Amino acid sequence: MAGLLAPRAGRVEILGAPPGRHARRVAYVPQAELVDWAFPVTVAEVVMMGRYTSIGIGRRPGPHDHDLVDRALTTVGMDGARDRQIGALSGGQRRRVFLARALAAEPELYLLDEPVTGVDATTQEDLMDVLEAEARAGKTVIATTHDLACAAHRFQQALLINRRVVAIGAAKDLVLDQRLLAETYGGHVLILPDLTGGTLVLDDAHHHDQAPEHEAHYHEGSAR
Amino acid sequence: MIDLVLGPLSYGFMQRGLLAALIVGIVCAVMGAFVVLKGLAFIGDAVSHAAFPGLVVAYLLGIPLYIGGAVAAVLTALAIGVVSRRGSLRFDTAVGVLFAGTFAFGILLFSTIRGFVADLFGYLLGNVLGIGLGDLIQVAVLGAVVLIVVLVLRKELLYATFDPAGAAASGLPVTRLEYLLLALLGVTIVVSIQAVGIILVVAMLVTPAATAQLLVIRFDRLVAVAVAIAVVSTVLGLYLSFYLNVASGASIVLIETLAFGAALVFSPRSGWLASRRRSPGEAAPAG
Repeated sequence: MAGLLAPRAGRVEILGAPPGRHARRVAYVPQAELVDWAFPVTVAEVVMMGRYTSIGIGRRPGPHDHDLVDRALTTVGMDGARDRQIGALSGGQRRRVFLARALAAEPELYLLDEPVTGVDATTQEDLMDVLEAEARAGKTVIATTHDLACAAHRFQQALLINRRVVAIGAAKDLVLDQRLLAETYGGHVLILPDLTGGTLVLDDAHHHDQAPEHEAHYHEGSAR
Repeated sequence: MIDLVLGPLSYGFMQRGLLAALIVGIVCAVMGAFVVLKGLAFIGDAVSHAAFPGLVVAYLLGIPLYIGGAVAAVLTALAIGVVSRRGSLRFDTAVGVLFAGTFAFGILLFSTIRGFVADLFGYLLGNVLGIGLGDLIQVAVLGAVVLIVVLVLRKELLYATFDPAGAAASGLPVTRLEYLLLALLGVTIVVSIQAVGIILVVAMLVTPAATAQLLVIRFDRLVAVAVAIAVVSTVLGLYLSFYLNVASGASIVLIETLAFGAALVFSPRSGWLASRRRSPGEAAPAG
């Protein structure tokens, strides 16, 4: 959906166009393991990266960009760490910084890959509060997660996937349905929910009544 | 004392050599920052060796050696980029095969040439003090091109190196940036071969940036420190070469290596001494 992989079949539309076309209006928060943490960048520099495509090639960040970076860092509670090297932070702090980078990009759509996996409870709550505030402001938030409690508590819609779409509907109802969960997690839901490869895609789309028509989701075999 | 410093500069070959070596040192230090952070050291070594057959072919055809070397180096760099995207072999295995094969081809061609070819030996071992005015101008122009491209695309190259997935998702053409970086690396290597020779180019690329990485935590400062190390090492190395009558490229590389060793031990941030003070018996903390 971020435009990184080409679909093997089917079609994805993001904001009414193929993925990647409106990249500037989409912020993608990757899984933590995919980044080189020894890299010599500071927290503020990482957040500024969210502004790069808006700033444009060959130009330097302006006052507006610095302002957005400052605000994003404050929102996630990391304004005290702006000059620290990114690898010197704890796992939860890194997640906060990457969310700040997404915020600084001022997107309409957030795509998050396992945003709360392996993060302490406080950070989890804080991050979800920030995302909920964004959703209330009219933004769309889509995340993959294995965390059923978080899914039911924080998201409106859930899409259960295990190689194919198992179910789609209100998050609260789906995660309480034993049969659907068994199918999603391959029958091991109570024993080993995280090892069977089922991915729960949750869609915290809209606090308004109608879903915007410019949005269509298609997920193809995203079970890992 | 002043004579010790200014004396050598009264020779034209020393002026040209110093200028060429400084340009090479600076360009290598800047590109080296990306090489070190992206883990391209082995690729750099491979590309420099792959330039050799290009040089020999150019010699046999009677065209400027530079052009042959540049074509071979850039093609190899891009070929490595392609192999890394779609290969069933492990990446370093494929590079290793390519690297030895192309170099062997170069040596084979080289052995068909009758008699001693000083030019080609110069490229193998490097002799910046023998550089002519025409070559110096080429070094300056190509070096400037590399520096300008990196300067203009600094932000984008940095983002794509640090977090390729995030950069791609935010709309940056990450694949094209990677190929561009490899092409720039190819050009840099060909420019540098003149100064330090095929075998030592990788040290010019890797050592200053690696040293800087031990000392600072910001990308801009890393580049600045790497450039400073390269400049100081180049000047000291060339004077050493002049007074002791030893190989110029080797002198520069050895001084850079000494700087790296010193940083490894004494760096306040990550040096062995500093980490011993912080936590006796434990490994240096990350970051």
